[in-house]
Amino acid sequence: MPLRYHPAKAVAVAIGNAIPLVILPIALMRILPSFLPIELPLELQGLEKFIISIGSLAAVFAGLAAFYGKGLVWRAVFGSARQGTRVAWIYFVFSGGLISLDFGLFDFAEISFSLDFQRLLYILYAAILLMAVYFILEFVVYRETQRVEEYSEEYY
Amino acid sequence: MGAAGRPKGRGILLTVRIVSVLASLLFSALLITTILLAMPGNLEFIPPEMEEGDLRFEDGILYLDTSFTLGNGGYHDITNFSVTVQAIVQDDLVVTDYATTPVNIPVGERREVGISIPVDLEPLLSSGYLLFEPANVSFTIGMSGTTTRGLIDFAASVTFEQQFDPLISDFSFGVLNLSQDSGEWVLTVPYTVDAASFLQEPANATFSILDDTGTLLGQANATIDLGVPVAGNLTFDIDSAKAMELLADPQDLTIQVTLELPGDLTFTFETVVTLPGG
Repeated sequence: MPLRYHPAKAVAVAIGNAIPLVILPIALMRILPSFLPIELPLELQGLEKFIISIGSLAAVFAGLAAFYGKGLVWRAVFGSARQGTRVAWIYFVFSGGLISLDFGLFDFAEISFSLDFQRLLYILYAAILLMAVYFILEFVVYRETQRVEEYSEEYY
Repeated sequence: MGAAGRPKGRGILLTVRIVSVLASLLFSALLITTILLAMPGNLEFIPPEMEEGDLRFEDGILYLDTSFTLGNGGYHDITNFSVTVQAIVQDDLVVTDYATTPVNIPVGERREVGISIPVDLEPLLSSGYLLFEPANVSFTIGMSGTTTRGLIDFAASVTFEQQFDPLISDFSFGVLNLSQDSGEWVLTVPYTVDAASFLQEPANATFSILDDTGTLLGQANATIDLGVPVAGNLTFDIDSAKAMELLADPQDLTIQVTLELPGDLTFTFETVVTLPGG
């Protein structure tokens, strides 16, 4: 196998991404409700499936991006896809930055709570998507080096 | 670049990567520390202690004066924090819609937020709510503000309903007595009034008595000290011919009451009384 592929690094990166994107959130969702005085809404069950599917996809993309060496087009493709799925993950997990909760308190009062952190998420999306730009720039910068290496391998 | 050398543009790449990673970490940290604000103990709320003197009646408007303390034990300053209070009577009439002046609460500090909620009694009295009958008042107390360097807006509200005693619980008339005094016919009407204790103001009352055709028979004025149960007698001077007619043929009479409270607060109601048969 040529040196421009890194299978061990790919597995390590995929697992490293699965921990914060899948394992930790699912564990928190299973453990936290037992400590809260209120019942979590049913929508959170749908969110659990989403975290597993999109989180796993982001981890796989991260692994694939790590598998390919710098200057290979697939590293740029999977690297950008990884950042895109991360943005989607954050968007859905944090409800697009608009969280609104309504619940009753002992049939006496109705309590509502809302949080609008869209502006913060927009900056976070920009920071994450900047990494996608990084993968594209990296491909442009390392493309020539990669071609020279491929040529050297074929020639020798 | 050389064949195996370093490619050009690695500096830009490194910069983009560092900026992206640092920005992601910074704003993730801001998000996490903001969510921690919602954890118990980080946002401290000391509710107001209601006392008798908190309720005052001034120029036709009822004021609820109180204050509460809010402490910021979180990680970010809170700016533009304000409290709103809305009261709706019988799901119909908005009697107050109040917002405090916004305050800033730096990290680790407490702020006492004074509130003076005005309740305009004029629409309340003219609509007839809280007169003689208790009414349900729905309160919505909300608070809102901005935190995390202006990047996050938060709002919370609690809505609860409470039944209130009427502002004027009793304004009734006793047995009428039509008698002759020094050649003049006088109709004496005993009355009792019971109003909410915070309405500790003398009110000017005008009483008009009408017969069953709507003809004005007489008028009387009285100054009534509200806030404590009051009893008194009204005397109407009645035309002798009309007095004789009433004695011969007792009929239902209508008393129209116009009560003028301080602050140009006026309410009118009427009640039917019966002259006992002679």
